[in-house]
Amino acid sequence: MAPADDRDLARRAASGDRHAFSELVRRHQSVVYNVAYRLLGERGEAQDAAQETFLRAYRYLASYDPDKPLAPWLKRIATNLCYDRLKQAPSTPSLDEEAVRPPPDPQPGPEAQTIQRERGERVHQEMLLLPPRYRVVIELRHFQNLSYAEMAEALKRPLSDVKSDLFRARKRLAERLKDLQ
Amino acid sequence: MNHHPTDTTLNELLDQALDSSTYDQVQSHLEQCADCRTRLEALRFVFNALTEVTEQPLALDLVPGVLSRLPVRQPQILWRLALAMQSGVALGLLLAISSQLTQFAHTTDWGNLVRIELTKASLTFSGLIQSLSLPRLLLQWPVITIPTLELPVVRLPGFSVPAFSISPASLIALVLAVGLLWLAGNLILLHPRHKRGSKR
Repeated sequence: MAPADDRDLARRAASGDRHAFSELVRRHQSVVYNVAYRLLGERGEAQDAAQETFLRAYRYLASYDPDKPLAPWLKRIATNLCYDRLKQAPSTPSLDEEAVRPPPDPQPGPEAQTIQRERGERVHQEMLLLPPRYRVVIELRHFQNLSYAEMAEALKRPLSDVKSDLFRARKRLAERLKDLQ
Repeated sequence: MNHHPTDTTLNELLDQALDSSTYDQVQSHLEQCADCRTRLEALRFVFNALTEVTEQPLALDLVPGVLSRLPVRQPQILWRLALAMQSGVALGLLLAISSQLTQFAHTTDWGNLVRIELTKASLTFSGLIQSLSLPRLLLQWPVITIPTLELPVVRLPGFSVPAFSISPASLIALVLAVGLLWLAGNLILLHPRHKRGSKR
């Protein structure tokens, strides 16, 4: 039997089918977790935010349009949830030890691969040092590929504000990452 | 374009958000202006750097944690079933007593059901007021007689239900019981299980 698609699973979950919802969680948990991890920078907190995202999604399943793909909808919920958390504790830098030194790769690849991974971690660290409102626009534009208008809609903020934040965030990142150029 | 493009324009260029005419103007300027090319490259570096942020593996399966925190949602089919059953019972009762209701409506003299008479009465207050005449309301309560329900023989293929009667007291008790069951059923269905204290 062919596996059910997200649309079918979402319909069944909306009518109370917990098994269908658990399948949706299984499929999308990694994507949602990565959104939370990029924004929060701490594994435990990101796992908790990802769980909370699915609970919020379950609550609002009735408002989900099944004709649209599910993953962007979930990512948007995760982004807003993390943004809310960051706004509540904006002074706490979201940078934990794990973010600085991730667990060692059991099978280290070639040197170039290691260097690239370290560069990626460094970029992520610098992203985590941005103010929440800058961080969230970087996430929406560069990792979720939303247009300016979609970002403004997702964040419920004026288009001009969103663009201004995005450009300032990039400028700040460029300054911080000068040594990598 | 003679003047240097702004940071906003360079950002929009990389985001592919410029209209075609502005895009062409900016591109022609960039071909001539080394400073602006440097600015653009610095910005492009950020774009490329962000693509180097890698996905992290999720070390924990979130499914059990999410499921344990899910509120219990009543399937819609149960609602429909309950509504259909309740409607059926109400309709059946209405049909059963319809002939008696019709008879009652036709034989009752509604004009004489309530009669209000105003009379004068004397009220005495000790000490100060010896007597005061006030109108007094006399209400003659209507007497509503509920007739005994006589149900005819019901013949169905294979068996038949004999004729029987329901006394007024039994009928009232039956209507009250159905009403209470209806309310109780709705309360149980409407109240979310997690608020009823069930723990899984």
